[in-house]
Amino acid sequence: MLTVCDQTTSLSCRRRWLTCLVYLVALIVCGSISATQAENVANAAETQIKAAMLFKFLDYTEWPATAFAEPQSPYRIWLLDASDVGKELRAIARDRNIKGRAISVFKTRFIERIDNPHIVFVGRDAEHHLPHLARLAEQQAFLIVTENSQGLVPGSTINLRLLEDRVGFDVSLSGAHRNNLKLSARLLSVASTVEQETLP
Amino acid sequence: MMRIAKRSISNRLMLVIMATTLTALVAYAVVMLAYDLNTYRDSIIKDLTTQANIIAEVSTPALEFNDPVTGKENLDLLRTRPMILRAVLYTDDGAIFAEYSNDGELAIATPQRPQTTNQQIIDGNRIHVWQRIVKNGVSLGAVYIHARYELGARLAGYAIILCGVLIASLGLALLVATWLRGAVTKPIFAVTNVARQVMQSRDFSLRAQKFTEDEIGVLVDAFNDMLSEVERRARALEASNQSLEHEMGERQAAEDALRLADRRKDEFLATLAHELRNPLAPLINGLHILRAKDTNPAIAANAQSVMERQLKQMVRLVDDLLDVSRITTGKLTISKTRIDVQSIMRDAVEASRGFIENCGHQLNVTMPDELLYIDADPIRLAQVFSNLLNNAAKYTNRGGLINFTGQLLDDKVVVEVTDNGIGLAPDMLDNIFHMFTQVDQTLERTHAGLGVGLALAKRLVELHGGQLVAHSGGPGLGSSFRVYLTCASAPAEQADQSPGPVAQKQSLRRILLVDDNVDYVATMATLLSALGHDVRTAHEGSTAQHIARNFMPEFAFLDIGMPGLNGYDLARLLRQFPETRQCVLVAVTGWGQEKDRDLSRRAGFNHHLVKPVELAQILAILEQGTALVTDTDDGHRRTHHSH
Repeated sequence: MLTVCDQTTSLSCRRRWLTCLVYLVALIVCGSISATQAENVANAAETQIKAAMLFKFLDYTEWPATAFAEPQSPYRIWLLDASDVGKELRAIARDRNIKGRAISVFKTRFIERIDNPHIVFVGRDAEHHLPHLARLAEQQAFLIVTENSQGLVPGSTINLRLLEDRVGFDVSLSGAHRNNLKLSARLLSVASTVEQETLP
Repeated sequence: MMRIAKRSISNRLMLVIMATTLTALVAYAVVMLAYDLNTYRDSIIKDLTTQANIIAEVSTPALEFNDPVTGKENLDLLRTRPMILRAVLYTDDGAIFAEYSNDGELAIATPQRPQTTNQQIIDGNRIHVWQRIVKNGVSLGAVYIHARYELGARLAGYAIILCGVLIASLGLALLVATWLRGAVTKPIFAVTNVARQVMQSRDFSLRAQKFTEDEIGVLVDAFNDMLSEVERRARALEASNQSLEHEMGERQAAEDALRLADRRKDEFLATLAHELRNPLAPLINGLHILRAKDTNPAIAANAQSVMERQLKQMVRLVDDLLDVSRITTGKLTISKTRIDVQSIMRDAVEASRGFIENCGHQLNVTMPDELLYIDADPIRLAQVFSNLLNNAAKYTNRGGLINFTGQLLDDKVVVEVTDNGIGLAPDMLDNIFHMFTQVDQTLERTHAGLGVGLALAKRLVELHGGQLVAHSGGPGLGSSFRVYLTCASAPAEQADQSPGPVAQKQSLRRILLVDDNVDYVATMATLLSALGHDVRTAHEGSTAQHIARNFMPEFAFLDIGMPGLNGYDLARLLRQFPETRQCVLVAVTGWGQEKDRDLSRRAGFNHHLVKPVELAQILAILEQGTALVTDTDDGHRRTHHSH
C-alpha cells in the first residue's frame, strides 16, 4: 500500500523535470562531456543503493510496540529533503512486506510535517534539523538515517556513506539506545563503524 | 587343516565353532561397514548442508549490504573444519561475492557460476554442496562448499578396526570353545577310549562311562549293550569251541582205539591162522606113519602121541577162540561153589606141570597151612592159575625159577605167581591185560598163543569179584601176578565132599549116543565100547526114540540140531516114557550160551556139553552116576590151558 502526498508529488515532478532538463541540455549542448555523464550514472546507482539499504534497515531494527497503532500498521519512512531516494525506495517497496507490514514512503522538506515516523532519512541539505529530530526521536522512537560523507553526525543513528567501491554505513548504538530502538547484531556485523554506547 | 579336522572330533568341533564365529563376524562386519558408510555419507551431507545453511544465514547481511569483507570473514570461520577445502559465496546475479580456500588446496578451481538449486554432489573423494540464500522470498545468492569425502580412508580405518575386532573375537571364541568343548568331547572320548581298548585287548567286559543323557548318552548305552552281546556271544563261542575240541579229542581217541583194536584183530587172525596151521603137518605125517604096514610099533606109538599132542593143541586153540567169543559178547559166565583154594591150586599145577618141566624151569609151590575157602568156579579159577603159570614159564628163559604161592592177607586170599623171567616194562603193565596183546613179538614163537590168556584171566577173576594185578621191577627183573579173592567160611558138609564111588566108576553103563555126525558117533562108540560099556548109536531122533525104549539106557548123549525130531523134543519124549524117565540126558551141541543151556534144562537135560566133546568129559559124567542131580554149568572141561 503506497500513499503519496500531493505536496511531495509536485515537488518530485518538478525535480524530475529539472533533472530531465539538465540531461537534455547536457545531451544537446555538451553530449561529449563523458565525465559528467559517468558522475550522473554513479549518482543514480548510489541513490538506488541507499534506497535499498533504507528498505533493508526495517528488517534489522526493532521498534517498541507503542510505535505501531495496530499489528498490521505499515512502516512509515519519511524522506526529509531527499526526494531522489524516495522514487527508488517506492519502486523497491512496492508490493513488498516486511514482517507483515507494508511500507509507506513520505517525502517532505519541512520537519513539522513529519508524522509518526519509523525511519527518517535526512538528506545532505537538511542536517541542520538533526538536533530537533533527535529530540523528537527520543520521544517517538524512530530511526534517524543520514548520508554525511564524513561519518556519523550528532543525532544520527545510522549514517550512509560512500566507501571506496560501495556504500557502507556507520551505526551509533548510543543513538539507537536513546531513541529506544534495538539494532540487530547482524546489522552491526556489516557496519563500517559502530559507535559504542557511552556508559553514563 | 581338513586333515587335522578329520583326525579328531575335538578339532572338527573347534573348526566348526571358529568357522561359524568367523562367518558371523564377517557378516556383521560387512553389514556394519555398509551401515557405517551410509551413515557417514548421510552425516557428511547433513553436516555440510548445515554448514552451508549457517554460512548462508550468517552471510545474509553481508550480501544484503554488499559487504564482501564480512562475507569473507564468515567464510573464514570454516577454517575450524579442515575437511572443507573451499567455500564460495555467490551474489544473486552469479558473481563471486566472497571466497575461502584451505591453505593447501589453492589449486582447486572455483566454479564460476552457481547451481540454481540446493544439491549435494559426491565426486570420488570430494563432495560439493550448493545452498541457495533466500530472504523474505528474495534470492540473495548461493553458498558453495567443496569438502573432502574421505570414504576410502574411512573404509580403511574401519576395516582395520573390524580386523582387530575379528581377530580378538576369534581368539575369544577359541578360548571359550576350548573351555566348552570338553563338555561335548569328554563323553565321546570316553566311548572312543573304551572302543580302542576293546579293539586292542579284545576284552569285552569293559564298559564306557555315561556322562550325559543326550544323544551321546544313548550312544554309550547302545555301545555297552553291544559289548554285552558280543561278550556273551564270544563266551558262547569259546564254550562251543572247547566242547568241540573235547569232542574231537574223544573222537580221535575213539578212532585210535578202534584202529588199535582193528590192528590187534588183524594180528590175532594172522596168529590164529598160523597157530591152527602148525599142528596139521605133524598130524598128516603121523597118519602116513600109521598107514604104513610095516611100521615099527614103537614108532607108531610115538606118532600117536605126537598126533594126540597136536590135536590137544588145536582143541586148546579152539577153546581159546570160544572164550574170546564169550568175552566179546559178554556171555562168559561162571557157576560158583564153595571150595578150598588149595584144591584149585593143585589142579592148576597138575595142568601146567608138564609144560613147565618141558621148559626146564623149577616150580616151587607154597600152599597155605590151613584150608582157605572161596566161592569160585573151580574149573575156571584153575584155568586162571594155570594160565598164569604157563605165562611165567613161557616168558622166562630156560632154567628159570617159578614160585606159586597161596596165602591169606587180611581177609583176602592171595594167590601169586612170580618168576625171574624177562619182566615187564612199566608201560606194558596195563596193556598186557588187553585182548590180543603179546608182550614180546621177538620171542620165539614156539610157545606163542593167541594173546588172549591174560585178558581172559583178568575177566574171570573179575567175575569172581576179585582182582588180578601185575607187577614187575622192569625188563629182565622178572614179574609177578597176584590174584586177590574174597575169603569165605568153611562149608558145613565138608565130609560129603569125598564120596569116591570107585565101584560106580568101574561099573559098566548102557549108553545111547545120538548124533547126525556119523563119524563122531562111530569113533566115540568104539572108544566107549573099548572101555567095556554097552553102547547103542542112532543118527536121527525118531530112530533114537525107538532104540531108547527098547534099550533103556542109563545115559543118553543127544545132539540138539538133528533132522526130523530135534534134541529138545527127543529129550521131552524120553522123559515121558517110563523106560527112559530115569535116564541121565546129556545135550551135546555147538551152542554154549546161557540161553542154550536154559533151553536144554527146560527140555529135561541133566547136562549140557559144548562140542567138541572129548572122551574125558563123557567119562566124567559117567563117573557122576545116574543120580539125578541138578546140574550146573560144566562148560567144557579143559585139559590144557594156553598162555
